[in-house]
Amino acid sequence: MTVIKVKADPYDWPFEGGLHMASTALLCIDWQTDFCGPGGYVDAMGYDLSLTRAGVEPTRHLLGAWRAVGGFVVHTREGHKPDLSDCPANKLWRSKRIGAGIGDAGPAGRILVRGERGWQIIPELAPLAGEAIIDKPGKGAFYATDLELVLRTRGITHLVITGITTDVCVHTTMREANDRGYECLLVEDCTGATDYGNYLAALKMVKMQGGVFGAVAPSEQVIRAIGVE
Amino acid sequence: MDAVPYPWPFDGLPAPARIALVLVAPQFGFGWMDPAGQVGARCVAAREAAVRAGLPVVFLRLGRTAATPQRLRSIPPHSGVGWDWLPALMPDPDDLVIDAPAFDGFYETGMDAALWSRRIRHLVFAGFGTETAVHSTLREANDRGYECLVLEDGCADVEPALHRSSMCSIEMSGGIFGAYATCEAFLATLTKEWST
Repeated sequence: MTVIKVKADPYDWPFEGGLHMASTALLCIDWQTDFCGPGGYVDAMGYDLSLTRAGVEPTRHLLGAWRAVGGFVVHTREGHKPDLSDCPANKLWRSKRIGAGIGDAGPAGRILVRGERGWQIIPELAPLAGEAIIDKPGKGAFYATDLELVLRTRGITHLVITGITTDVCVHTTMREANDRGYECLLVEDCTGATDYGNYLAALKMVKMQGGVFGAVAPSEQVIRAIGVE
Repeated sequence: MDAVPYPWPFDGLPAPARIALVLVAPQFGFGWMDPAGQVGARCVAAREAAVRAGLPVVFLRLGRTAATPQRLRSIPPHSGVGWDWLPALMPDPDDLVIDAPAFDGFYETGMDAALWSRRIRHLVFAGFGTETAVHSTLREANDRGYECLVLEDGCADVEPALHRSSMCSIEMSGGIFGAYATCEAFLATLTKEWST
């Protein structure tokens, strides 16, 4: 039996054995208007949306390929309860200080609040029935969520990761997953950051020390591998 | 105190007993990140100043256990010399020692419970390595609502070329993970506020 691996850097992924769709989830982190759309949290802070939007089209393409082979997809959304009772005081304070107060009214509704328009996942990457959606109050998708329960129930041990922003929510989640023994692959053209230098550094950080947090590959290589599997 | 990108902490300095200095992995196995010993020396200075000012000091020790994923090769086994404390940074009996199986000081550890029981919500980070255990622990602390300060020159990098980015990621979005300052600035604050 051929062992299928994704051509990746600094090692062909996964580290042990081959790619098995049954135990691998595509993770789509925070593809929300708040992070890559007009009028949301990132836009309100004055950052260049083209940086966080850069991964949308490649992710849409990868998502299509993943779904075509029946792969499991997990989406995450960062946001807070409307009464902000789950928003730490310092998080709220910092957001107000930079002009993007969590809970404040904006062009896309109240910033980073569950149920608001800006909080929704962008239409290009909208979840389908049967896919898991994880709502999180922080940057890491494991903290204070049921992500681990969902992954365990499904028998998921490997994660292919897309999302925004590379150095914040994606990296925090990948670190959490890695510490917990999940084998992770970051898809380099399916992610972006508010600063391009931080995006590049975030990719390098994954690859240090022989792949301390996992491996990195372009979506093309993932699509190639799942086509074979 | 002055920090990047905002004066830290956001809510004003609490009593010294409510701020913890977290020394991340000051162990032999990570000493290679600090060949000239400068980070180690700053950690020693920070530790001594913290003790004088009445700040609790947390020693975070990374060590391979059954919970450590096989692939995390840089987590030292307890049996090896890499696990031991650097000689200048050994905890005293009263110091809090937290043993972690992976990079995050909160994952499967007593960190959160220990801090909560002492009502500590403010953390100052220094140690080894900036991009690995420091950043992972910082991020998990931040998600839990801790108000964090990173001593930018008190952290030893795995890759020095990534140091700027490691700090830049902290300061973006109004200080997404908290703030950072130099060790000197931190020491000056301790002296100014709580000189004994």
